[in-house]
Amino acid sequence: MSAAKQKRSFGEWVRGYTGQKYITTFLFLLIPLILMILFTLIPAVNMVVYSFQDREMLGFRKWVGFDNYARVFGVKSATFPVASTDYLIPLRNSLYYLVGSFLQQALALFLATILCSKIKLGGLFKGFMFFPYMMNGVAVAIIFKNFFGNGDGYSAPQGTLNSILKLFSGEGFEGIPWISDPTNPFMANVCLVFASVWRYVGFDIIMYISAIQSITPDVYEAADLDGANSWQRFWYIVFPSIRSIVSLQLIMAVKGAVSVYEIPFIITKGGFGTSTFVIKANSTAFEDEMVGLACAMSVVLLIITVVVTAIQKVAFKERK
Amino acid sequence: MKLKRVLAGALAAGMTFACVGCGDTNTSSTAPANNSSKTSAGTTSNKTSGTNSGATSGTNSGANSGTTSGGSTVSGGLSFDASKIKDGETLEVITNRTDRVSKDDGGDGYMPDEFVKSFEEKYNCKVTFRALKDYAKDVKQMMGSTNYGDVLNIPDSGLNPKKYGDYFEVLGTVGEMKDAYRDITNKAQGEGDDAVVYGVPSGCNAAGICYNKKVWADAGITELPKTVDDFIADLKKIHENCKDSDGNAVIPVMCCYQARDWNLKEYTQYAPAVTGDPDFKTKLLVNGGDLFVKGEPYYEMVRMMYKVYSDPDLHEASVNDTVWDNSKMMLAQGKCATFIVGSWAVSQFKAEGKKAGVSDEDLKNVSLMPVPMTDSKGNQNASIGADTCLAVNKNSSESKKELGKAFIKWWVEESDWANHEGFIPTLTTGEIPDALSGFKENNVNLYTVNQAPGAISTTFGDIDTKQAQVNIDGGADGNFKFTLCEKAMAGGTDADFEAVLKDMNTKWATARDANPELQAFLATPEAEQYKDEAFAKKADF
Repeated sequence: MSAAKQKRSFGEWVRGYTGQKYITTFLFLLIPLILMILFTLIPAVNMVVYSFQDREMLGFRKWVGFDNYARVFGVKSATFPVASTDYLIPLRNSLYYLVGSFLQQALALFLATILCSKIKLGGLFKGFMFFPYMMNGVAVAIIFKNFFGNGDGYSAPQGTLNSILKLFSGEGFEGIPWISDPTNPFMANVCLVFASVWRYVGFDIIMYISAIQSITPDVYEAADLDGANSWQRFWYIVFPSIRSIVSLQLIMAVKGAVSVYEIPFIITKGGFGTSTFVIKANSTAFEDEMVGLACAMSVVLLIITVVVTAIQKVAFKERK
Repeated sequence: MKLKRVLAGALAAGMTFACVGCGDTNTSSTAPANNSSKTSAGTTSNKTSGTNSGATSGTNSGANSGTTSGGSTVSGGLSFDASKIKDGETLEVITNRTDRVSKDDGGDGYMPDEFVKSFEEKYNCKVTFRALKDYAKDVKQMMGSTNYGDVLNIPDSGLNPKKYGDYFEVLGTVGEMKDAYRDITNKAQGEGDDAVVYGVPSGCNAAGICYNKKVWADAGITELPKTVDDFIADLKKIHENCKDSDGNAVIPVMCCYQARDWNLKEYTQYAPAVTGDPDFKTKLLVNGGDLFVKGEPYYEMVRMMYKVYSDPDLHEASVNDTVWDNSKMMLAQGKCATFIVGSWAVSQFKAEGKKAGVSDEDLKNVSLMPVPMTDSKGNQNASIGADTCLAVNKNSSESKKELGKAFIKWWVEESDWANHEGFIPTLTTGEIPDALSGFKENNVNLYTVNQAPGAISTTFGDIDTKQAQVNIDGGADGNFKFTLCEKAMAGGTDADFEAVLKDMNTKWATARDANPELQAFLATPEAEQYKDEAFAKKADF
């Protein structure tokens, strides 16, 4: 016994169980870590550095301190003698997506509850509802661009929705400019939010289903014995059990709402009052070619997300 | 534990947002930054023989010897050292013309299969073409390394002209080439004849508006408009009087608002190109006038845009949904009368019309009219400017550099490019293409814009895009032209129009007065020659 406990050489340690465990773990982690450092951490650190520079697509011009940040928040500075809050205005549109994502959670919870009860072809419905989430965001955006379109049928296809409405309304129907009405940015934004909800609701449903199914059947049986109806079962058993998932989803919804990008970018290119903060950052970097300013915008977005994440952490702690 | 959590949170957040900086790889490829890349694969075969075979530059000694092209002799031009070119060299050319590269790459095969053959024989070399769909953006990413082809176009935006020397080989001086080539100062750095040239125009464009001659004539318009109000009145006439082959009213102007990120630039780019003053932009800076003044070019061009968008009769009904690539054939077909785009688009309209079955006779109706704007003397002007400028990579081998120079010289002096694509030839002796016949008939004065003096060579752009953020030629989200168009379509009034321009004037003036380079330049004697009372006007709205 005592011989086995003697101090082993390094070589023996390496060949032994513990050594092999550490080496295997290290080697398995090496590749993802290298990829993460190369493609995530280095660009992220560069982004922060660039946000203090006057920078174009090709190269550095000069250090400007916090001037880029001042511009984002509408404060005049040496680099930007003209300033307004036009960079913050697109954040307002995030409210549409925020409201939309709350409705999305409610819808997902509703559908998940139904799918968890005994219905026919439940698996098939789950599949259908989850399918949009597996599609590429760009593909989804193109689908809805064609769906809401209002072309003349010659130089642009007539949208699916307008074609169907035409079938029912007969002659003289001009088509409704769902996503291209300059007098009505509300409608355009609602249509975009609809596309966004359509895409992401499936993922939420699956999250809720897995949470609901993890509740032990004993609790339901006990409730049945006590004579609880369906609503009581949901409110007193299901909801408290999945509360942590709900709050996680809501926090994710806030993050998603401030960073929404591909759906409005492809469908309207941010026109007709549907621009978002990320679209604005993207066009600042690649159209106006003010990379430093765009990086500052991204850092602002990063800070918003970190704050939301911090709130999430605190909120979870209280629940425990 | 806590630290771990914070780190994990920060990492997750970082991962989510690190993608912001590079988020447009697969989504914005429909927005070309360079004029002539706005094509879908087009097939034109209006190649006329003659210019190619007739051009002989003697042997390729390359010294400033005479070059013949189309029968007339040119002195000067680009020179190179033929002795350094190795036999059997390969040359990689980066181009914006996705429609002209090999069929495997989605083009029509013109460049590799026809265009370059005589050059390859002449120098016993192999030329490969690589087309970038979103040229100005993509090439700048390539230029972050040393590997960006041997011959390429200089990107028109986002590269500080003072840095050309870091990327491109010096091709010669303005003094050597100005007699032989048009708009040679476009990509040059320095003063006067000693300025060094980094890029030679591959072909030139004239500022004008694409229109269908026959439709305009059918509407009873005998004289092309010379003012914005006449232009709008003529468009109304077209709406009232013209029917296309299907019996629908002809669309006076195809707007394609979806392509607003580049096609609204056309309006504002006309302004400095039709004044007849080669120093328009410099004078605007030096004399302290407002950017938008009633009756002055920028104001008038933006007003034209506002008017076109205001009246639903003047543009297509589904203006927000029409697709540029699908609309191009409509001009030749006579379904629409006008496109507000420059001469670069003529060949594309013809090519698309041909594909849609329009006869060769009718294709000739696609033409270019002068911009409806006159100078103070009542004359119409149009500037001739480079389409793209060809340059040589500084990092290529000696042999490839010289071959690259030989290629550029051959391109502008001997190749069939300008004729095939409908450009004005870079050679000063080259013939003005047929599509511009309207310019001769109307006695339009053709001229070349001067580059701003070295001390303030980038100042106009700096004020415009960064300090004031007016972005007069810009096309990014939130641009004032988008605001104007959307206001116009929503039934905006003249007061709305002027409120937007007033805001832009204030921004511009504030940024201009705070610009240190400009203020320093104003104190030098050089500024005196740009003083002109006509450019000191203030807006009265």
